[in-house]
Parts: sequence; structure tokens; C-alpha cells
Amino acid sequence: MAKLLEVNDLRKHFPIRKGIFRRTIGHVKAVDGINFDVQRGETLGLVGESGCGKTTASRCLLRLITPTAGSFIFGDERIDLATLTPKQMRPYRRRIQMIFQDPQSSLNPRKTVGDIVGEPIRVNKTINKANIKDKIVELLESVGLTPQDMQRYPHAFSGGQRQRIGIARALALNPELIVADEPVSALDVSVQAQILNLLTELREKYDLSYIFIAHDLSVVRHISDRVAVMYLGKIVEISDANTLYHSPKHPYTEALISSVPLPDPKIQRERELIRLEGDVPDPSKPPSGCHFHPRCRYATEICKEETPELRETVPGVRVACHLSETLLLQGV
Amino acid sequence: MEATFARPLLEVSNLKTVFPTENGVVNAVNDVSFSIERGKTVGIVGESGCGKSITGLSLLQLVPHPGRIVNGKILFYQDETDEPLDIATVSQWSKLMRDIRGNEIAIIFQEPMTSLNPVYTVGDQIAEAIVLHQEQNRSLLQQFGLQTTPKWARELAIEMLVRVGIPAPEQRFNEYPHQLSGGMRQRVMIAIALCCAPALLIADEPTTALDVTIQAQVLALMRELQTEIGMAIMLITHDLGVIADMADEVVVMYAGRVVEKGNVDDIFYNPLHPYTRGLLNSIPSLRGSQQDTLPSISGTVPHPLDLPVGCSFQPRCSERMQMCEQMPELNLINYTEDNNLRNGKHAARCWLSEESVNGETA
Repeated sequence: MAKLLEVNDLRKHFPIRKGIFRRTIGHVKAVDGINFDVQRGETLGLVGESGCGKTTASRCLLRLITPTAGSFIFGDERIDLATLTPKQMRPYRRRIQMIFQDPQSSLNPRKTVGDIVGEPIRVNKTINKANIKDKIVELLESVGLTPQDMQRYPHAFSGGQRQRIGIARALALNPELIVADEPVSALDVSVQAQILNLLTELREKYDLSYIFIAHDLSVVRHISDRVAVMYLGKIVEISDANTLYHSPKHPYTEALISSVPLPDPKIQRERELIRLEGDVPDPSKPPSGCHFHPRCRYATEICKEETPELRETVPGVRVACHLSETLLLQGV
Repeated sequence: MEATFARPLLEVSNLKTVFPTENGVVNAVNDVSFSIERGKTVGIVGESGCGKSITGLSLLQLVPHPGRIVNGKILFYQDETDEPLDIATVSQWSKLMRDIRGNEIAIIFQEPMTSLNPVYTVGDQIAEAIVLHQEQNRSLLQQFGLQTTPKWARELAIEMLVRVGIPAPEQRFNEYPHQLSGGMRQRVMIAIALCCAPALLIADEPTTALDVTIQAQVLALMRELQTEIGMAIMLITHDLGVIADMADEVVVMYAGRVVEKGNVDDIFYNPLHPYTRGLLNSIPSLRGSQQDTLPSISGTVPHPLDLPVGCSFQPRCSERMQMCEQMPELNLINYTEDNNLRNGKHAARCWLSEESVNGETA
């Protein structure tokens, strides 16, 4: 598999300003030096609790916000998207599309579905005007809607169907990479399964790669080939989905997996649960050393002082923990 | 578990709550019956719009206008001997109802930010609940407003903050809701709900807005306080994981009706209604090998004003047959003699339920 995207040392620091001169008094390090890559045809899951920087990271990738530092090498031509001017960026935007969490607020209520799905095509002029309609019909059918739905407005659809419209719009420009930010978390379980299946199906059909952001660990596991776990702006562990859930190598991953209640009462009663104490710390004042150490039950002196690097401990598994080799962590 | 003949805490029978709208009457809760035992947890599951939240609000006479309860009984047995009180007949505005709310039955909602008042400190809001529910202090409060949070109420409120596991409670007492994290706010909500040691706590999606690690903390806290106070919990959620973790009994709702209810193990290991089975199958698994496609339920939840004929689930059901055009009753499942005790409560609203049991247990 060829690399589609390579992210190196991505950082996004938001300044905290105060006083009448709006002096910068500190930074929220929303994303603080993350590295990962996405192979062609692969789904990379990005999980973490709210405020861990997963959404900020994805917005940086699309250049919806300008990253503070870092590079994203994209495509076969190995262009660094982080340094492009907005104008230079335009042809690449076509190739990276986004699916949003809330289909209610990401679809214009005054436009028909045909207009919404066709807009990217009209703006980018990728297709001859005469053929736009056929393309829209094809897109709607590929996401499980009917050609008649073109004339209807978003409010006439249920949550799941709206998400299908959002997906059709994302597919309109034949992208190579789709960033999906919590695409199923607003949906009911039975509809969620339909959308997950649709995303899997479309990946095969259009040869897509996904960066799939979600807080629901079981959803991420289902759809991802590899999973990256984020905590306070850093990736703490990244590995193959099965390995990550079976034998986590970072204490945070272990706790995260243990916190998910399994839909199986007997196992749930017998499971030894690891409960994390306290909340995620304030990202403007992260703890010293390993950011996770105040909540970590294995923390030692070194964790308080030195920030662990993300390193490969086992082939294919990269983890940012000093003690990773010595710990025996439980998965599910 | 042995069968006891003690009365339940709450018995809901044939509850029907409707919302008259311009386009017709929506039967938000339709012929719902279940009971809640003292100190036990009943989980109500279903997708959005299935009527689970309105069921919870009905129990407190808090159904928003223009909704109202038109049929059924909500029998509340305050203690073992008294005549039960039928909450369905009590006026929404009556003093009796106000005394029940908070004192006997408390509720916590999904989004703690919208349920807490942003202009009062969290401590004052807990103290308010404490003072308000002590009869003798009510006139005092009405006279002076909240400025007079009495010292004893303050102390009790701080004690509540300690009990719900909030660090530095003295300091937190004087903080405003926006200064707390989501998990902390939900803890404050729990503190307010539990300060009068209610017999029943209705928790409407209490952890849906929280992260998993915080959800685990809050659920553990609820369980701890449940044993301490001995209260029953009615847990309304769409998350089957949370149900498996917390519930003793489960009620599955679809389009306003109960489609299946029973012991948590029966529901998870021997689901009889195709909807329950579909729900359980459509959750992606955290264990085992990764599946390529998830089994999903086709179609969407029907519009409440345009329910299908007969069984509401029939158009989406994979096992649909001719008979499904008539509404099946909620049938108690007749297990074989020796199984009867444990499964005495398992019921499903499906024409196939009897058959599938006989097929399974034979």
C-alpha cells in the first residue's frame, strides 16, 4: 500500500489573550506534535475524549484552520499541504472531503438536496453542466437515496438520511481521502449500523481512505484498520485495531477500553473495571512529563519529569509510555 | 433470585400519554405497563422518539404542554402498608405533586448545563433543594430568597458534594455551573436529586453527554449511592452497554409501546422480539473479530402520526408475516415449569414470541 498522507509533527496552539491589549498570556496546545500516516484504502480511527484535539487535528488537515507547525505530505506528488497558500490549496481541497457530525446544521435548509449535492461540482466545474444532473442521481443512488429526493429539502429527511446526503456531497468530487468527524454519533443504534455499512461499502467502491474520528470505541474498532488514541493533544498509542483492543500498550488506552460498558450483562458483572479518577486536565496547563501521569495508576517518578516519545515498542505498535515494556495491560 | 410477594415501589399500568397537535394526536406513550421494585434498577431502552423520556416525565406529572396523560395508572406505594397513590390522577400543579417531586421521586436529565441555573452557585442550588424540601423552612425561603442559605443547609450541601465525589467541596460550593466540567455538573445534578434521599431516581440519559471514562465514574457513583440510600433507579438510555452494566430489569420500547420486557439476562441472552434482536446485533462489538458488515435494521423509525397498521415494527421486520397486520398483545412468555420462576416476567409483543421460546428451550 502506498502512503496517501503523512502527517509530521502537526501542532496547533491557540493563543489565550487577556487584558485591553489582548496580550498573549499562554497557549492552549490543542494539538501538540502528532505524527501519523494514512495508507491508500485504509481507515484510520482517531479516538479520545472531548478536548483531546481530535477535531482540531482534522480541521488542520483540511486547512480549515492553519496549523501552527508541521507538515502534511499528501498524495503521490508528495505536496506539503501545510505550506500552501489558500489559492494553491484549492485543487487539493477537492481530493480531501469532510463528513460532519451533525447533518442538521451542515446542510443548508434553503437548498434542495440536488443543489446541496451538486454544489461542489458546480463550484469546481469538474463536470460538464449537462451531465451534472446524472452525476447527482448517481451519487444519491450510491448512498441509498432515490432520484426523486433531489427536489426535497433537508428537513424532510430523518437524521440517518441527512447523513446520507452529507456523504453524497462529500463524494461529489471523487475525493481520495474523507475525513469523517463523528459521523454516526448523532444517530440511533439501528441507523448507525446502516451508515457504518454504507461507509464501508463506499470505501471499496470508490477506493477511498478515511480518517474516522469518534469517541465511541466500538464504532471506531468496527470501521478502522488502525486506531490512534489521543490524549491532551498528543497521540499516546497507535496500532492495528485488533491489537489495540486486545492488548493495549498504553495505560490510558487500557482505561478507556475498560470504561466502555459491554452490552453483555454477565461479562459486565465479572469484568474487572479500571476507573480513572478525576477529569481531563485543563489543556492550557497540562501536567508536566507524561500528560497522563496524574490519572495513571502505574505512574512512577520518570513519568512526572520526562515527556515520553511515541516509539515503536512492538512492530506496528507505537506508544508513548515510559513503562510500556514492563506493563501487562488488559484489553477486551 | 427468589420471588417475594412484597409490593413494588411503583406500578405503571396501561399508561397512555398523548400530544394533540395540529395534524393529529401523537400517542407518545401508548399502553405502557411495567413495575419498579424497591432498590432495583429498571432500564428503559429504545431509539429517539420511542417515548422513553415521556414515560419518565409522566411519572412526575412533568409532561410538557400540550401533552397529557389520558389513560392508565401510576401506582406509587410510598410504604409497604399504605394505600397506593395514583400519580396519574394527581394534578400537575398540586402541592401533593410538588411534595412527591424531589422528596419521593427525583429526576436527572441528560444535559446538566441546561438543568442547572447559570446565575446561582452550585452550592446554593443544592442548598435550595435541601431547604425547599424541609417543610418548616419553606416559608423562610419564600421570605428571604436564597440569600439566606442557612448554615445547616450549607453544611448538608457540602456533605452532598463530598458524597458525590467532588474534590475541594468547600471551594466548589461557591462556583458557578460554567466553572465545572461536564462530569462535575452531572455529579452536582445527582447531589441535588439525592439530597432528599428519594425512593426512586429517574435518570434520563444521565451519561449520554459525557465521555466514557467520566461515564464510568458517574455510573459507579449512581450504583454506590443506590446501595447507600436503597433507592430504585429508572434508567432511560439508548445505550445497551449502560443497560447491561446497570439494570436488573429491562423494558424495550418502540414507537410508544413496550415491545419486550424482562430480566436483564433474558433480554440480552434470549431476546424474543425481532426489534430487540436487531438492536443487539447492530451494536459494533468491542470483542472478538472484526465484522465486515454490521447486521442492521432496515428503514427508519415510523413517523408517530403515520404508524403502520398492526405491529409498529412490521415494515422493518425481517420476520414479517400476514398476522403482523394486527397488533399483538404483550404476551407473558410461558417457559417450561422449572424455568418459570426466573423468567416469570419475560414478555414480548410479537406473534412469534411463543414459538421461538418453545423452539429454544425445548
